[in-house]
Amino acid sequence: MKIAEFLPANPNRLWDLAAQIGVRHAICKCAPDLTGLKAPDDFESLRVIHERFAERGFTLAGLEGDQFDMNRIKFGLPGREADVERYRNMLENMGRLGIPLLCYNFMAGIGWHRNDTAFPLRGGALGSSFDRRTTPDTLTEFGTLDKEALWENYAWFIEKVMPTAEAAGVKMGLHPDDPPVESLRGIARIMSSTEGFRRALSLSNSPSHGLTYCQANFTLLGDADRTLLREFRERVHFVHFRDVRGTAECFHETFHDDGPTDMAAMIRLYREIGFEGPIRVDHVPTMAGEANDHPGYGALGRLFAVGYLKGILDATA
Amino acid sequence: MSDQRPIPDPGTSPETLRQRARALPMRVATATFVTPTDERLRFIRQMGVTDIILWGTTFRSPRNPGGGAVSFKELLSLRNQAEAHGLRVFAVETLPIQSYDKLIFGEEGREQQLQHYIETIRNTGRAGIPVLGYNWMPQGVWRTTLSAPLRGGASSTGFAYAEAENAPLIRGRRFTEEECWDNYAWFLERVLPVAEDEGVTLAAHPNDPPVESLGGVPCLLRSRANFDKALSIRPSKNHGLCFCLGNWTEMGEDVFDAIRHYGKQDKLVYVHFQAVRGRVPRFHETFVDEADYDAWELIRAFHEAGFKGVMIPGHVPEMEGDEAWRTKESIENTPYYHPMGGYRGRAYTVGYLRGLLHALNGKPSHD
Repeated sequence: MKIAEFLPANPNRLWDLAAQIGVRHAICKCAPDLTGLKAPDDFESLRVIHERFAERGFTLAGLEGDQFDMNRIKFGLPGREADVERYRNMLENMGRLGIPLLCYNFMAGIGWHRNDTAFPLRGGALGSSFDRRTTPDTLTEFGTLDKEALWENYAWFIEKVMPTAEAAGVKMGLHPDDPPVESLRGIARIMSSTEGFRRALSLSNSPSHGLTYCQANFTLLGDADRTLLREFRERVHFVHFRDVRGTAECFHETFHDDGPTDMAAMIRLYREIGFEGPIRVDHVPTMAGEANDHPGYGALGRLFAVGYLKGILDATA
Repeated sequence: MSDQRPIPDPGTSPETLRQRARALPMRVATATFVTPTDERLRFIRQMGVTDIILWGTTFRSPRNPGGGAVSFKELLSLRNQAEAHGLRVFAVETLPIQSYDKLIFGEEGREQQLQHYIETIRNTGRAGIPVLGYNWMPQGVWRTTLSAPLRGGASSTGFAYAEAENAPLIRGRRFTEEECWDNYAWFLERVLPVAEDEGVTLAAHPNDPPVESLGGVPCLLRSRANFDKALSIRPSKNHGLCFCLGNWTEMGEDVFDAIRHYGKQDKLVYVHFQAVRGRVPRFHETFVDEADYDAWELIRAFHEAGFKGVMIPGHVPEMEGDEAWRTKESIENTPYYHPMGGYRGRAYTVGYLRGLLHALNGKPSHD
């Protein structure tokens, strides 16, 4: 397993910090609004980012998130053909540069969602929480979308891109919906149950078609006993290592060492199933003295979480 | 929320507090200079730590360093401040050198220092603090570089004896081993009975660095044989070791055997989980996961030896953008500059140690 950190495409102090704690693998979101470059379907833009990491001794282990606006694909709107062509170009570019992983999601319209990003944790640190009861039910600009429509759009997408991913040697790791609820504000969510993942994975036998085991979300969506993890062991391409307390309808993220999950047991399980890919600590609480302006990604919390993960990895090696 | 606070009921006796501390399993703690800010105590608690150690070079009492004891009220107040943040005080560590230099050198005035020291031990115990960590270094820690390069541009301190072995005499002449042992014995024979009466455990830290002598003064606590000798001077259940992994590695001793040896005698009071590469005469500090030792094997050794105290990061490397752990007072009170890393280095190191402990034991239902 390789500890990776979520790093920006432009070098900054986080890069130094990551190197100082011995992290050598980077995961990056290369959306234009973050990078100032074109999206990764433009080869030169992706090449520049890849080279920056390489110059500083990082391996760019994967891209994560929507690298450009995916809503036409997700909602099945006119223009999706052009977008999927861009997606294929992106996969080919990744193949040319040897970037082996693409962590993606199929949340339409509304992505990652929380009600509160200042939820009090141990010692007054700040985490994030979701509560369905206080989430508005009103429709968004996107209107409604039902499950079967979303499934159709997903199936279409997988059929269009998976052969290219395979030819490029890129592993696509489907990330669960977050929060993993049935729907949010009129828009269905389909990667929010174990049945959903079984159905998703059945759409292609390609070795490129796999999942991102975000263990906290999988706890919430019904895989707390890790049956699905064991069953699809060979198709786990990426792990998000963090913990959560509650249910899919009402939960809060915790410190890695302070939630209900036996985190050392999880690492032992990943070893047991033969997972050797990248693993990152995902969201961390904001700690004393830090401004909460980048919830989930404060420096002190990251250092603590990576230290914790490293300790467990070294103890179970 | 699993956020149980170890605040004792009002009226809990110091002895009960001490007994409770001793019954807890091996766990991570953090040391801090005084007076810690609320933000610092929150940060410590946020890392899942529930015990702190107070570094005594920055106490407000006595007003003149060496002119009196550390006051009971100051210690009690610091303990209460810690409790308000869900923290216990496990130990006071390291008094200002003006409190014991005459004891080290056997000079006139040592009786007065002894009385103040005894009073400090008494006040520590009465304030419900179980341990007093001490050292026998007349001029604190010696280093010869503050910028040993580590991974990613981090840095740390280092020591090369070649640069220090011709240091000028500290106290005007050379001292012999024998007279230094005599002075140390004089001190132990008089403070250990008080420690026993008050239920306080004195924990001896090695000389840092553990070389033969510096500035004409022998460094007594520099080897296992010397520690055995120290513990045999008026043997006492209230005398043990502050087991500094950095210094023990530097000594070149078999650390695992030493852990078994002292564990069997119940002499492992607490641990400094300092990380070092190299050994005397030349070494440098580093990250906890990059030391010459295997931290996980050490945790297992402590566990097998029945160790139940706390382990602190001690010194950590200097990291990008960090806020210093040393406070203004500690810098002002120390006549030489010695960086000890900051918040970031401690977040990483404490996280790492907690990871090792959770891999060993599983996660406790509460901390």
